[in-house]
Amino acid sequence: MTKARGKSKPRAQKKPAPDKVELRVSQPKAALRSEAFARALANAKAHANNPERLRVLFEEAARKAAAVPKEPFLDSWPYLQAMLRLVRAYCRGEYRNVPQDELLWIITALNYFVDPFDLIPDEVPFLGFVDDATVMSFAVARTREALDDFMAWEISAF
Amino acid sequence: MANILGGVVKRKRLALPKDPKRNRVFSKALERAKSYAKDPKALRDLVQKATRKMSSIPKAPFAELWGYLQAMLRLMRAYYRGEYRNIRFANLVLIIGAIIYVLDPLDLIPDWIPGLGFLDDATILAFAVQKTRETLDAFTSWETTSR
Repeated sequence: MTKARGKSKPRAQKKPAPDKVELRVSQPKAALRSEAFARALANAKAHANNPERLRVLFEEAARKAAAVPKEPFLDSWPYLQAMLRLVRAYCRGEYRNVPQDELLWIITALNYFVDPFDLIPDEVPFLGFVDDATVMSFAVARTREALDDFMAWEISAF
Repeated sequence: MANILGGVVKRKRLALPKDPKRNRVFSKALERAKSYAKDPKALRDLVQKATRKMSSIPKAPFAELWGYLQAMLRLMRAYYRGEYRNIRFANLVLIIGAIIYVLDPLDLIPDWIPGLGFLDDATILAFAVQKTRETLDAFTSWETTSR
């Protein structure tokens, strides 16, 4: 009798836990599931194959990067700048040693960054760039090696 | 007992000073950095030495700060070439000092100790980045907007 009771109790308690975990995990990635991110991803391929469009994207992103608050991006900020320089070097044909997948992630992140009407519109004070920072750190995590290689090339080649 | 405990605590503090200013190797590096900051040719040699050594330094201990480390090297290069001079002398010295420390194989925790050798370098770099973040960010913005 006592054994059976002891076994049945923990089963009943365990149930509500998974829901909570799921909520916690999915919330910070809302930006990655947004329509704006899907749009950025879909546009990335067209940009990668068109140097002129890529150059326009670079100029727009560089102008925006000089104007927006840096705080939400924390330590991924220098990597955002590295992405910009990589795209510029790629456009100019100076540097092509970047895998296609990584290039697409970089362009996707910049597309999202440039878009003023993403998940949290950029004009919203304090919060406007939080979603951009999420997308950026996601992209940095995926392209870290390519960016590090690029920066190593930068200091040795010029 | 209290005496012994006190002694242990003191010793620990001496072995691993968290405040970078108490780190003797770093204060020496800062002294040397001042002369580098005034001499473009010496600075060029330092940057070239750093460039050669960079591939043998593990990235893992520096984590996200690796990007700032690279920015420091590019800033020093742009400085000795005279392309970019928009930086306060104190910040330049701090940046050069951090690079000298990272390059020094015999610092607080010698660099050849596996797994630990670059922890102190990462601490020093984090300190320098914290102090010069604005300068470095201004430089990287200049890189993408004016070239």
